[in-house]
Amino acid sequence: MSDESALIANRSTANAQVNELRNAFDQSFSEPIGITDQAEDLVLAIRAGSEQHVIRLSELAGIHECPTIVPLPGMKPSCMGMVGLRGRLHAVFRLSALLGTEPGQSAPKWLLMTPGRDAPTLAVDEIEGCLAMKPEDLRPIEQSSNVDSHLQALFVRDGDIRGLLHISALIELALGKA
Amino acid sequence: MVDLRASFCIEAREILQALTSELLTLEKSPTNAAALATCLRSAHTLKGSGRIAGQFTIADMAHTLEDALLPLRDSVEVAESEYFTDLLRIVKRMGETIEKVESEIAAASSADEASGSRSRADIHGDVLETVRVGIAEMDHLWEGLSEATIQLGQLHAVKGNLSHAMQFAASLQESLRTNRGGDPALLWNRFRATVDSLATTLAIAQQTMTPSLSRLEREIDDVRSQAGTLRLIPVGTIFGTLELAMRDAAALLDKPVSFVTSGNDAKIEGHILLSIRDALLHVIRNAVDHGIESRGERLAAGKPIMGTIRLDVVHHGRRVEFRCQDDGRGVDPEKVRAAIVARGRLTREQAAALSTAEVFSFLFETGLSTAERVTEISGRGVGLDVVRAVANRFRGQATIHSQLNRGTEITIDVPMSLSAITVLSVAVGPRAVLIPFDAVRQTLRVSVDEMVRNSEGESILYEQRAIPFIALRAVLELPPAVNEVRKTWTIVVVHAGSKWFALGADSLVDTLDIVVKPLPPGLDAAPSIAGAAFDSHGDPVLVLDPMKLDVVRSNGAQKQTGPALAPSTRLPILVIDDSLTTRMLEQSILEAAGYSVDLSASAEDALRRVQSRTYGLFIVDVEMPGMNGYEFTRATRADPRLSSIPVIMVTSLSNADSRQRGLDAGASEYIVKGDFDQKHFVRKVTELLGPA
Repeated sequence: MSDESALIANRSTANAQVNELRNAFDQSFSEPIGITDQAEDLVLAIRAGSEQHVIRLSELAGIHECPTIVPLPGMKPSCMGMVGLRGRLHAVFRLSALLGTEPGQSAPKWLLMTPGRDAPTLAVDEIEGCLAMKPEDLRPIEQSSNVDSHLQALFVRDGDIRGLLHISALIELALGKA
Repeated sequence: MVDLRASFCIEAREILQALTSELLTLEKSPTNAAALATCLRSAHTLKGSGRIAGQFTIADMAHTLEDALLPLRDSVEVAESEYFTDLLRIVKRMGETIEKVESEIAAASSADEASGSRSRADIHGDVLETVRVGIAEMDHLWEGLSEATIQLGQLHAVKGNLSHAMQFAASLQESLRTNRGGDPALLWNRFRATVDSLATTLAIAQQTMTPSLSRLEREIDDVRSQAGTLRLIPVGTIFGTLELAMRDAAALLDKPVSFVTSGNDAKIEGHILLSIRDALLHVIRNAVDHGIESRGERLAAGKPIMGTIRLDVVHHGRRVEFRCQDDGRGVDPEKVRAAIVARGRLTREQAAALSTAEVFSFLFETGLSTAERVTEISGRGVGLDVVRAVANRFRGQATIHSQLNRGTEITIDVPMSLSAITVLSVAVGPRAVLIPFDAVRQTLRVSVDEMVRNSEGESILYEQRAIPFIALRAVLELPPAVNEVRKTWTIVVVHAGSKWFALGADSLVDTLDIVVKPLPPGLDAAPSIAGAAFDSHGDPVLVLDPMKLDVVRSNGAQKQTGPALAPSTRLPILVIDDSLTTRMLEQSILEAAGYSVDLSASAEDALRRVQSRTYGLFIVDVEMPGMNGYEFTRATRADPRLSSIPVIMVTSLSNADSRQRGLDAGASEYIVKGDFDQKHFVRKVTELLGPA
């Protein structure tokens, strides 16, 4: 093959690759939003009191080892007090108390930071792992008046069933807006 | 998405503030080229940003303003005062239009408050919550931080010394372990060099660390203090609004008034300044309406027709004093006395006994006005109460001085910042709690035996007052200490507004300068907690609000005894004694302790008085002309309407028979004048009647 024909062949291959990339790029816009996200959703498996749940990592602003919680007079029963984190004060709500389940025997070990400035934190007893959640792990729940709005779906894997909690609904519950 | 209108409103308000201020300057000196340039630039900016934000009405008004200002730049003619008055009207209209836009934004955001949209109040607040910082100030802060970083570098060097010391110590440890049981003298000779090296290394570390740490501490303190000042806003920011309000009131009442200000560079926290502005609006409108006389009255009084209102702002230490003075007719103390009596606040006699300063302090009460008419501007008795409320809210003071036909001066004295304050740290069980130092009057050790108990709880006697006692454990809702047999309390006497409290702590810890952080949302904490500060470990420590401690006290009393009488419902005491000196002495002691007292010179007069007024306690002498104290006591015990009112006999009869006769007659307490002790006297009154 002459130099010229080799150059043409290379250019043609390059063009094909560019077209392929362009199509893939365009195709990505025509796909329904969420399929990719759902396929790669990471969830935090936690234990709050006697119950186990999962929470989407994308709904959290961070996780922090539980520092000294300072109680205040006149607090709501679900509120444990406040903590200082990086020079800011945050209210601490015990997740088990918010969900109305039995509290753990010992002090909570972790704080789940929720998004927003001065946003409240949720105290949990254990962080049991971080899992990649697939669409087939989720079972919808019948939305009726007796189902809590903070429960999005059921997460089922290997016989283990946990509630998928909705952080913004939990915050509303904590702040008394629910 | 950020609402462009909201950002526009913030910018527009800032521009209008500058426009107002500069137009007022131009009115006073029409040839001031700098002020004219600022006005033109401001109008031009507002026109542009109004169009971008789709606020065409404001943009058009800004354009009109610009058109009206341009000829002044190019002409040699000087504009009249009326010309600026018209321009200021346009500025006012623009302000009103912005207010409407803010209301629309607030209405839209209230539908979805949870989304974090800003309310109208928030937007308004931004006017004084936004600060402009000079490069020089930022540079100073930057230099402070750089210096602190250098000191940190010195401390890193210490880390190396400590690491050497640890090596020496480890080597020593190992050597001692392997030579266990050896001759001590030999061991000492062998390891002496290592021990010396260890000591030297540690000494070097200490020498390096101590000054570096002190320097670092100083630098960080300096940086913190600098950062604190960056948050402060010049008080001159509110002068324009105040002057406009003054002009409006003066125009409405057809009174020529000039407004003179000084001290516009003093700085103060935005939210305090905002409240002060609102209070001063009332003061200034009052001054124009009731202080400054009409043209005719001023002429007749030999005063210049033009009235003057002066606002002087004086910065002293960490406080700022706003002094608003008018040269009007002043306040007639006799009219205030009459108003006090007419409103049933005091009897004619009590009002007559007040000093002029005490009389004027009643003007800060809601509903008390000496104005003969209610106008659009003032005279409803609302206004000066706002002044005192603002002063109280910010741990400040409001005072009023007035001279008939000379004028009135109202002063509001507030701290320049509430964020950085000095506190007293006290220990309560395992916790610390911080009490703002400006509310602390004294600290005492008080034995539990010295405390007075009654149905409303416990009190201590302090400077002849019965002060309600509150255990800080109760404030923090901590359980009582297990097996605690308390003999004494560490008492912190606090005074906030008109309230006094004796706070019981375990011990005093320290005084500190702290930055108070507001409590995070969602806590619903008791109102007695003002906020929190961080301790040296970064954990929050609660800061008390001394103004809100009465909630704890009344809750405590209700828990123990059910609803208690409000202090204002405490019944008066009737003192019956034929000796004027004794009557006056007892009256002064009891009034100083906060009680209301009536006097009778004879038992007969007392029995007449009880027909028209209900008393909570009788204090009666025994030996009096006519009916004596025993007879008075027996007569009241026999009357079902009076039998429950306790009697204290205060007499010079010290023998046991007389005492017994008194107790047999029905006296609850018998005090001998020869043994008279003020504290004991007030304690007994408090036991029988409750704290004042």
